[in-house]
Amino acid sequence: MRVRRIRAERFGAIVAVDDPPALVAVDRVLARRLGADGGALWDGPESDEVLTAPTEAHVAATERCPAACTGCYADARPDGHEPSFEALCARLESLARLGVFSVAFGGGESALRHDVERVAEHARALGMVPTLSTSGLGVTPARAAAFRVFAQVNVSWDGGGDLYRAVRGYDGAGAAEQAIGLLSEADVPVGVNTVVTRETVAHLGTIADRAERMGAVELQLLRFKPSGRGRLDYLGRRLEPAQAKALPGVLRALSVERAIAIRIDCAMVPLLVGDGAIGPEELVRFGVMGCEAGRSLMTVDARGGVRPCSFWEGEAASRGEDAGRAWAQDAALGRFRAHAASPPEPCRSCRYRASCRGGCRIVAGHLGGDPWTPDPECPRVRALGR
Amino acid sequence: MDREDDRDLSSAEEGRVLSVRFGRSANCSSVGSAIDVLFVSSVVGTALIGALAFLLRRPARDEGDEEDDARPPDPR
Repeated sequence: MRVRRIRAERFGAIVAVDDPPALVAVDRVLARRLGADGGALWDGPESDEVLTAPTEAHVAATERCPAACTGCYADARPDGHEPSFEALCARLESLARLGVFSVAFGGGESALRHDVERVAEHARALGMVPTLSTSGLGVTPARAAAFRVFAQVNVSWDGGGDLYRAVRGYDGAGAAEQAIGLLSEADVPVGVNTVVTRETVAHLGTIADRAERMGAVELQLLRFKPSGRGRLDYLGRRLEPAQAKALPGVLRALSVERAIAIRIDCAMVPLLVGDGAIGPEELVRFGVMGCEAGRSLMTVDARGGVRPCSFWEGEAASRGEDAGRAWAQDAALGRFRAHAASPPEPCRSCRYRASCRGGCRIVAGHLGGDPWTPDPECPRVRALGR
Repeated sequence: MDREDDRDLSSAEEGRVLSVRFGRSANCSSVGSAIDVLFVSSVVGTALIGALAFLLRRPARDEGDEEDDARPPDPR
């Protein structure tokens, strides 16, 4: 097995391998065998609460986007801010110095940047693995070939025609489907991002089947978040309680009945374990992560501001050009870590706490006015509240 | 089955795999986790983790195996 990179951590090390792509956490004994030297890190307890650096960074390459999706978490607009190539490179260099493994570029519509491939090449030259999320706008045959610089490109697609329009509020399914096809033909590993709403949840099987037929290797399911324009119609879009309750069974069926890989996002972990069928040790063993903001994730917005996650709308107090300082000292990152380390009940005594880390702060903040309270849509929180 | 296969593939003496996260994180807005592997049996899951530990240790054992003889380029 080819080890691409190894980074010492308090518990041992994180090892990046490429075939299959994975991040493997190993203990100090195995880390040492693989050539890592934890130095002073290994003098203390073998904690995994705080990592030495993010494993992945989300970097907005632009705020510009012509799509006008009604639920856009970034409130992206055609005249949004777009950082210069040099500014983006400075942020990437800072993230690389910190020890970040991978960078996911988004926005805004990053594929409409004429130089996004060069930005990705710079990330690769710095030792990081670049990926991209796109609506499909800007993906031509030539650009699809150029996008081979990305380890994977995820295209936002919530199903065909009317379903896509119902979720996104604009008619973009065709562009997304064309992009998936072009990227697949160009041998770019392509995933599909699908937002799970009360409209799409009944169609996830069909969406997975079509995504696979179009050439996608992965279906990434995203919980709808009340952030940006997504706040405006959140209550009308989120899953109904009965749909949330049925979701674990839906995810199980998607996973066992199809070849396409199924992923869920951090905010969906409380819903995945809502029926208690999966043991908490399995989540830990296979790195299924809940809120990783401030632990393995840091984001840099288009203006260079650092945030714990892309949906967090608080004032950015740190800069992406000084990622090391941000990781060590940023108050918002620290607040997310403190919440995960000591969440309120019922999360504190929940058997899934180590992976879930207290549910989604964005949902909690929107619905209850306080992000440091339990995720009110978590079925376990809901059941205990009755 | 050779002698390697007879050993505990994730022993404390040889080092353990604590967890594994499969796949690329290609979504720009939130952290993703592969869930397919959650639905395999616990026996298969345990074997998978053990096999990973074994494969990771192989470079140190099989000197001269060019395919797998990968030393980490950037240990910190």
